[in-house]
Amino acid sequence: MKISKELIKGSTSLLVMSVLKQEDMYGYKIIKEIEKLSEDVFVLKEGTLYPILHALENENLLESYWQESDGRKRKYYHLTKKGVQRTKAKEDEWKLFSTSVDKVLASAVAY
Amino acid sequence: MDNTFIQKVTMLVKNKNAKAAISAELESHILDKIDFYTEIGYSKEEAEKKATEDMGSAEDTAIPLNGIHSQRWYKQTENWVTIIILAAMWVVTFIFKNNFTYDTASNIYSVTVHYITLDFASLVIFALFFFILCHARRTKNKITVIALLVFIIAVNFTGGLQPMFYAVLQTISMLTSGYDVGGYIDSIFQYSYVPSYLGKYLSLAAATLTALAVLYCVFVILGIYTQECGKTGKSFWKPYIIIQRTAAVLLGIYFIFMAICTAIAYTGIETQKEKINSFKKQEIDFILNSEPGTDSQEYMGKIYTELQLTPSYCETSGIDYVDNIYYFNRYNITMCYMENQNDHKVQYTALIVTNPLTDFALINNDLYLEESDFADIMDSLECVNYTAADDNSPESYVDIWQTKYDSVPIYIDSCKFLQDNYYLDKISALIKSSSSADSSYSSNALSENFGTVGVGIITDNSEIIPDVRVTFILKNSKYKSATLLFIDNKLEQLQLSV
Repeated sequence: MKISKELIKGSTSLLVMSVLKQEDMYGYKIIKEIEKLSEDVFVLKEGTLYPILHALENENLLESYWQESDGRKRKYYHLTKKGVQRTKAKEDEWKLFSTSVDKVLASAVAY
Repeated sequence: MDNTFIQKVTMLVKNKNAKAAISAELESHILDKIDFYTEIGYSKEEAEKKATEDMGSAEDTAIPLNGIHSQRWYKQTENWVTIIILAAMWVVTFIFKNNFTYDTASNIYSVTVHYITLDFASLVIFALFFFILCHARRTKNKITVIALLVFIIAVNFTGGLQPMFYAVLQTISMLTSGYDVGGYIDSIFQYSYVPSYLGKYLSLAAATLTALAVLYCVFVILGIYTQECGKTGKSFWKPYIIIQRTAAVLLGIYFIFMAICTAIAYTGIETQKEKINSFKKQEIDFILNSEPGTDSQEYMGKIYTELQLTPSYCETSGIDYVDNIYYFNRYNITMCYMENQNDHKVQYTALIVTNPLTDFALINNDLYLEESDFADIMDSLECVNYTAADDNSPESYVDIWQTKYDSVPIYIDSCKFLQDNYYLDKISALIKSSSSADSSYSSNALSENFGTVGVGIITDNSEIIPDVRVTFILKNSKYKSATLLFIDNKLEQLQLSV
């Protein structure tokens, strides 16, 4: 089942920041990681990831640096302290949202 | 790499610096994706086609990226706020340049009183510099860093960082010679309390600090540049991250220590002011009440027993009618005692040393006048000469004004600006007694930064004319000081020193 674009759009930043909590990654790896962790539910149009990464960097939630790995130059993104705090807040917000949606759906099913 | 997606995106992104980095980043992504498709069996051409398709619409990527990177530096409020703050701080250091600079080697008469607030002003300037620099690094704002680079050089040029290092050295001095905040308070009142062995490191320390700050800025600019151009640079950042963190820790420790020292010093300043005022009155009274013609040994003995002061001998080069000069120093008060061995004549002067630029350490406002205070007497005076003072130092040129031949005499009691002066009564009494003071000598016009009360004048024919001269420091004037010369209770001369 496919998830609507609108639903993904609002949570992409959170997904990106969450995977960057584990380690510094470059764009391609971020997409792969999100696909892997979501068991291929979240498949992003790859070009759309970069505006999100640059916007987060502009807000000082991410820092970037260039590094060579496997003979290729890649731009790595690192979650800043401010980014970690924002991720935590967004995760809490999401959990509340998700639990509340579940509750509403559960009660609707009971009727 | 020749890829249509990358070409379209870079065409739509207008920022030249961002173009290169975005292109490199997208290229790296597409190459990774091509590798992926090649590994699962696609041909190279097919792999590139699929990788490009996976990127989606070039407009969806380029338009938001262009929005993020198209901000012009002059359209960003943050840049203007930073530039205005830095310009304001530089103007402040420029206006108070003389206060920020403790180097007095070029002017032997200048006594720089340490202005404690400048220690902190200087430190705040430096801390703010690093705060803005760190912020600019995070936001990759080259314009701010360039502004900071210009600022730190300009501030150093005006000596704006010197007080901070003075305070640092003073702190080190206290730590190494035992903690004594009294030394710190004393340094507020008189430059000579700065330990000389520390003084020589002052300029070196400030220059080193500026060099480090400039280097730091250059590192940041290069770092931002390499980021923008998509060059690898993590290792490049390491040395300056170490410098940054070390500086932050040292500044933090120093801030806390200086805060404690300053708080203690502030509590002691009023007491010290009262003490100095008391000494000053004691010494001026001593001089004004002295009997002209007193035997020199007797006079010196009295200074020692009554004021507990010991003299320091000074060579008398350039003053042909004085054989010996002795100075008695206590805080910012200097008593000068001159003697002529052949004639056994003495002259005594109290030099009340204050610094016109440092109100903080101002001891007595009586010695300060505005140029306009002389307005009521200027009509009766005419400028007769423009000459150098006795020592011929370029900063000691004076305008000499004398009473006009046909003008009404100006008596000391009629000078309005003297009416409220603490010493008026004393000076008046002295003028009256000076009519018999035929053994008094002139004070040597050491008036640059001093308030002087002197007795006696000598003419070109070595004839002694009793006089009283009083020097005031001028505020808000092109002249530094004004010396009034009274003979027989009448104003004879007004010397305005440049």
